[in-house]
Amino acid sequence: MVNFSLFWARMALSLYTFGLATAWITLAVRRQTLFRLARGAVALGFCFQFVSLVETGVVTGHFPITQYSEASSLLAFLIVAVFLAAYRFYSPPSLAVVVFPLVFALTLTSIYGSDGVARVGVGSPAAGVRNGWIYLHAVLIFLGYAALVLAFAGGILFLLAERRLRQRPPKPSPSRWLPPLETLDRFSYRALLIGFPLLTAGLAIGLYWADAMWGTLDLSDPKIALTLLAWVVYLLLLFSRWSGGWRGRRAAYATVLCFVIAAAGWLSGNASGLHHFFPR
Amino acid sequence: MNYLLIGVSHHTAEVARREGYALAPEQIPAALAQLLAWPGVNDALILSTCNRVELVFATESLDWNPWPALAAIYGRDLTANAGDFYCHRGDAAVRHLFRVAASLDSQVIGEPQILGQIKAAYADSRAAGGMRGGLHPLLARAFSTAKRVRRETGLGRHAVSISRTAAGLAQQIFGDLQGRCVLLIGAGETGALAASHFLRQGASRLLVASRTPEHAAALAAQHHGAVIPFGAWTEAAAADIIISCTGATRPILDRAAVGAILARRRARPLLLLDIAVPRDIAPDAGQLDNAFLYNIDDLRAAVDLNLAQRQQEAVRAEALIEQETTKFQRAARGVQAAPVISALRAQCEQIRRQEMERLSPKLARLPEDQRAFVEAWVDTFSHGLMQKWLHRPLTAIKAAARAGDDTQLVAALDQLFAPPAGPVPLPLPAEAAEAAATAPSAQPNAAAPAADDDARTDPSPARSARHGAG
Repeated sequence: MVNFSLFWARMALSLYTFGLATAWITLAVRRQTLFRLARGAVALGFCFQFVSLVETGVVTGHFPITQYSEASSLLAFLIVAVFLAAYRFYSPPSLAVVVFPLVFALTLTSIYGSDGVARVGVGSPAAGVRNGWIYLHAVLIFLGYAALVLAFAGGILFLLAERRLRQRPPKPSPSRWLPPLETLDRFSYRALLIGFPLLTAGLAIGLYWADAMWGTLDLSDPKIALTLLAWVVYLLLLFSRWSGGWRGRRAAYATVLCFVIAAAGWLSGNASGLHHFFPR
Repeated sequence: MNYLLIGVSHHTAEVARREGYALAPEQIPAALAQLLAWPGVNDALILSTCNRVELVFATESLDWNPWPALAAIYGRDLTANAGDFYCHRGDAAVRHLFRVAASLDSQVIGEPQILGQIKAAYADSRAAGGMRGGLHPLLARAFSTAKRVRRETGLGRHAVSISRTAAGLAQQIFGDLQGRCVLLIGAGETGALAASHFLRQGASRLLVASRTPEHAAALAAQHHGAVIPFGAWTEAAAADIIISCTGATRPILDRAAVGAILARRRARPLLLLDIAVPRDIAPDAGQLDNAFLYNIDDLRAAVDLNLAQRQQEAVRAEALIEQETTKFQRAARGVQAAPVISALRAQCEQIRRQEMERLSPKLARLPEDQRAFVEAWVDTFSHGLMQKWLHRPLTAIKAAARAGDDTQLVAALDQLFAPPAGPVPLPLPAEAAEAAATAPSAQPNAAAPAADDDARTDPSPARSARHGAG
């Protein structure tokens, strides 16, 4: 069977590139109408990526998560899904400026990364990985990451907006692209609130499964350690917010920190003993 | 069409002199009726605001004298006061009107009210029977130019008053002011003004704290607000915006007090506006997370910065005005050429018809079928000949009119070809009438080239009335 998934992935990448460029141009020329074009391109790219993922799954006969390329593509796909869903409720184009580059980078590495050149003839992954729970584990964590990406985008914009307000003399005209401070704070908080249970459930499944498989948890594994650390920071962040006080700048910094730890965990994937991706 | 604009504004006359020329809204319809009936006047518009009185005319001759008409509406001779007035004709009048509409001539450059006022003036003129073609295209272009300036420059974007600056800051923090609570510390006039500005912008609740509770109660009652005891700052936690303007010599809110308010607010952001001198809020309170403190100097500096920015934007706006003036005049000259062109065509067509009629008795001798054939042939031939012959002169007229460098050519042709009175009433046969109708320039309709402006701006009375309130 001929595998077109790489072709679809490339289509998705071109559309994401276009969407990214258009989103940046939107900021420069300050035309909101242009942003609709960017969003449309990204939504179309999203469809192509879906087709690419399904085809990869069909051809290889397993859920597309066993290789780094597949996993990046899946994560990019889920980030776009969460972004588009969030866009229905809250939609400043400026969020896209932070989110689209990440999606672009993930899709790019999924195509041109070390293992992404050819996808046919992948060796069958270990039997354990075929377990449905492990897929759920990955997808839930990925969805948690996607929500974290949105929270991170909100946090970055918050810090920019806050800096603008602390300038002297102040700029009284609202920025054309920075949303109000409180809106950003609330958006980030909601994204965190949605992401946290997903990440928690994903981690719980992983921990339970690891326990069942090996009876032990290897905390020296960088991916496990970093993801757990990100989860702890995440929990502290939410807890301190509920107990009052951690809002605004501090919360934004904590969100950024949380994201950075999670991203480090993601990038450490190949160094992980348990989470290594399967060679071609 | 010749345009003339005469007026007084804050640039040329002080308020004491200016008020003598102001026309009250109830005087305007009568004055307009008088001007529209004035010999030599095709159309008129009166704009009377607190900063300017301007009369715009479309006249038949280039050198029409406006003073007698002015004397008639003011009931006194104004030639002695000519120093207060500026009078622009042609391009200068167009440019001036565009600048006024785009708020470049305003006292506060970029203020948005003037466009609404001109729209109201337009509606007045229309109601009085004006705007029947003469000034209509000019006004339509003035509206679209003003919109273009607003869209393509930042002229109106930068707030240039303390209260608008404060409102802009609140907007950056809270977004919508709907449902926000404002606390005013000190019941003085300045503070009350700032607070009422926030209430007008949508803030829904006012709290007042003052050392003299009676003042606080009076002010709170005026705005349906509530009084909180002076010094009980934990109760201030409900407020999203605190405006302080007391005569106190020592800070009323120190860092610890602001910190306590923030803690009670569970660290939701707080906007602090200290417009008192000496300052009411300790400066280091502004370093607290989620507290945004601005003193009077910060706000003034922002206003100054914006004024400077407006000046920069004004330079760009002037360039746009220049472009639009040129474009408008070019189009207007095209309109001027239209009657000449149609007259020329009509005259040639008349000659052709006459010659055809002279030919028909001779053709009557021919047999029926041949006659029809020859008649059709001669008709086509003469029509083609006429078209070819006219092509170059007509192209030259249109080009000259568009370029605007040779109105003399149009005038000369007008003299040579225009019939003594009105268009030629000829009973054209169906075919020729059709040919005339398909030639676009043959329509002596002065408003035609401005049609696209109408579509864009549509300054109809109903719509203008809505904007007119501004």
